[in-house]
Amino acid sequence: MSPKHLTYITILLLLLVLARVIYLQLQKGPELTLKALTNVYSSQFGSAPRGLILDWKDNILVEDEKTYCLDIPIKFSKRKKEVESQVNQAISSLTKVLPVEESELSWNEKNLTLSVCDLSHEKLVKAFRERHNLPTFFISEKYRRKNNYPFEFAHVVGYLGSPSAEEKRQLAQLGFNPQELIGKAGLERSFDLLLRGYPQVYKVIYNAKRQVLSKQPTRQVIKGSNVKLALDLNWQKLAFNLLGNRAGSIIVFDLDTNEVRVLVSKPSFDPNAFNLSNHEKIRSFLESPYKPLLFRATQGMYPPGSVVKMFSAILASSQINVSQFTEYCNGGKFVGGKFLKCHKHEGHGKTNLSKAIRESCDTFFYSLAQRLNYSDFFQGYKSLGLMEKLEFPLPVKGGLIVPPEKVRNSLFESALISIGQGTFSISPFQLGVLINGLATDGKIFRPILVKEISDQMGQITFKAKPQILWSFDFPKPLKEEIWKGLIEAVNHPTGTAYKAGFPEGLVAGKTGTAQVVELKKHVKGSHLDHHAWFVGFWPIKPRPRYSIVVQIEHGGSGGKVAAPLAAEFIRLINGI
Amino acid sequence: MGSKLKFLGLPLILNALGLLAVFTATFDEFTQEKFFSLFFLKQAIFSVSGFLLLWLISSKLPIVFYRSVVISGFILFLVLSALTPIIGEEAKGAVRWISLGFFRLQPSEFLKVFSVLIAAEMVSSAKLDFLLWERIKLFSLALLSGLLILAQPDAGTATLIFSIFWCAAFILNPSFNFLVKNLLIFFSALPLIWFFLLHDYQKNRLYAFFLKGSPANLWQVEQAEIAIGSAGFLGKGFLKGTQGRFELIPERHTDFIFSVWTEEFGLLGAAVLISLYAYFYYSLSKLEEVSPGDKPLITLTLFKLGSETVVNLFMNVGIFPVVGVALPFISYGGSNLLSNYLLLGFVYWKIWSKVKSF
Repeated sequence: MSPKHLTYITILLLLLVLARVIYLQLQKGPELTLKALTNVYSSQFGSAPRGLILDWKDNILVEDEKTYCLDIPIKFSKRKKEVESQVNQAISSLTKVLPVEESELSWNEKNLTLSVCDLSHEKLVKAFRERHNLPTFFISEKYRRKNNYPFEFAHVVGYLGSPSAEEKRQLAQLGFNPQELIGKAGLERSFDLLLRGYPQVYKVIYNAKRQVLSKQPTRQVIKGSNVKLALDLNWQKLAFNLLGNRAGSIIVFDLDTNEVRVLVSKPSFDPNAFNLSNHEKIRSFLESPYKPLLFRATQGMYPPGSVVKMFSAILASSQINVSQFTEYCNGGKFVGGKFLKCHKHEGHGKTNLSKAIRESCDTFFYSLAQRLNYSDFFQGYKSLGLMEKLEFPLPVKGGLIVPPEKVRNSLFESALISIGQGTFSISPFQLGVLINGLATDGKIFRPILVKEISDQMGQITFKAKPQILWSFDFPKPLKEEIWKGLIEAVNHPTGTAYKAGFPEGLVAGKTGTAQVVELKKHVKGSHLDHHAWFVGFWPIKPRPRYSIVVQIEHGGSGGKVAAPLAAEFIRLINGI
Repeated sequence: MGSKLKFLGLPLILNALGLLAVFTATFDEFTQEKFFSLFFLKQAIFSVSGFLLLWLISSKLPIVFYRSVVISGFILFLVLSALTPIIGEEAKGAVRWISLGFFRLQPSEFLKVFSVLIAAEMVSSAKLDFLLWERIKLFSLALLSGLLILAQPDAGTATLIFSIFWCAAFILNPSFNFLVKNLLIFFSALPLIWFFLLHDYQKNRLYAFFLKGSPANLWQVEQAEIAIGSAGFLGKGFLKGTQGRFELIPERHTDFIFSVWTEEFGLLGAAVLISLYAYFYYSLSKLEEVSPGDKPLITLTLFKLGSETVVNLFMNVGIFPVVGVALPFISYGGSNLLSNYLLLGFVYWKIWSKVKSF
């Protein structure tokens, strides 16, 4: 073997190296380039404040509070024990200097940082004063969601929680901090992406030991958009307090703008418990037998009782001239082979539409119902949008009527439907939307909860516009007759709401007392009490400006429970 | 054939590129305020002294001392190698260095060089009538020096030294027969080597290479491949490689310096480096025509430098298991650089003393 041969072999092998380099670059280049990038560069998110939630007069209902985290970087070491001892040392000096529990500290193994968060200003100052007793530390900002009126707006505003794995992925794709809390209920959920701010993103360069070599901000922090509601803080508080310890809902609409001024239900809960993950409190809400998390105003389904009698008249008007119709009530009527009682056992005597509404005569409506089919009711309410999903920022359960093909005794059932019983149930909010049509001239507008959304620069990015959803024929004679009944129900001595204490001549309305089960007289208990309703609008002249729905779960009679609440609310806001 | 200048210049160019690579591999803009690292400074000092050594030995020494210097050098470094485990410094689980205060001497690097020189002497002066006896002599030296180095432990160097002597035994009287027999012996000894000679970390590296098993050992190979594969034709640019500068490539200024080089200077840079090696080795092989009597010396020198180059580059591109072999004239390391300059010095001393002009 000569040196030449050896050199040829060596050169051949060197060419093989070159070939391998070419192969690595051409064949595996893109894959390896990606790996090279992710090895070193990564993004770290800062935090950005969420937008405000305001009432229509710009009172702040929900805001972000700035809090501070103290982060202690731990030196990397291959020996786990060395790292552990460093961490323990940091923990002991921290707990000595600051009044913090060990459980409040969090250790991030990936970033080699020991942090304590939600520090108050005093603790922060203390840490700075005694920094010579602490290892090197950094301060980072964090935000904490704070509901200023937690119980009053709990269901409307909702709360935040940790995002799921899928949500984290989506948030990261949109350029948000995937670690920040996400809206889990209410408007916080519906408007999460708008409320959410664009946080600072740092371009971080690591070395192989995951030590941060450089950390550069890459963009401007953008605060989340502000959401302005149509709700009125003072009215909402008033309604909330009036409900007392009863379970129920109060809803008030401004008929001029179709805006929702009051949307409240009880029992309520504290969304701050969720925002701050106070697990003990959260559990107490979740496990409460009173179901405080249920938003009864939009999600509760109740038989409406007599408050829908006006609609029975309107639906019947397509078949007969209801405003001229009279019936003699002697305490009930045989319908579909069964005797149905009127709530007044001795009967109302000769009754026309306005008297039937004023005194809530059932027999009158049984007779009307006999002129209609069950499916007329079903189709009629359907055309009023009852079975459709209402386009609204909060989930609303509409109404439910068992379809005709599932009903056996349709004569009997349509009589029950005509007085808001039987196979018929509805949510208080949906009922309110219907009542708005009655207070105007048969046009049902989309209710507005979110008035405006404006970005950080104050630019309005969304403004609610009125929109007619459904409408019904509401000829003048019929309207006059129904309104007469509604006005007299409140203002006539024989009216069902006369004793409720409404200011005279201001309000028109209708009471409702819905049976929960077929009256079982021998069984006593508040959970079997009737649901109490009152629906109404005011002022009567020149034209109605507001409408109200009051619903009290198992409250008893509408005239005795729901109507007085509405009366007090109206008196208080009018200063009477 | 070229001039003396070429033979002095080629290693110098390689050395200069190596310095550049050491500079970038150890440059740290984030934690160091100094412009260059201590590694770079030391390597620069070694480069200058190494080159001076080459020039001095090759052109200033009288040839009469050659043989005695080779023999005494071999004995000196054999003794130092034997003493290393006793008086040496431990680093990374092995005792390979003797501290001289300003310089950590790695005797095994010099032993490699003197093995080449002494083996070449033995082949040149061998009497082919006593072929077996000559081979036994070579084999005993191989065994002696190989085992001494293995004890440090340094399996890579031990294998190379053993191979140098084996190569000498082969070129003594090259025959196909000898080759086949030795290969048979080698393969039958493999189980013995595996069970008695190799350490667990070495076995793990082999596992990782052949079976793609242990991810911890695969990691360093992968990082080197990432550096090379992500470089592109022109590379990421001087001081702009991320794999090397952010310490992702292990041993980035020594064993894996080629990855760092290629990451910053791309396929073109790799091709330049490889062409330089090829041209340098080709030129060295041409010295045979000048001085046919020094064929064994040239062959063994080429064998030593060539195999180190090939093994190191193979390891860098992921087609050979990770063994601690430095890239001649490029990798950081004083002993390695000085010993390679020393080797060239002796080769030129021997040849240029006979051939005054080219």
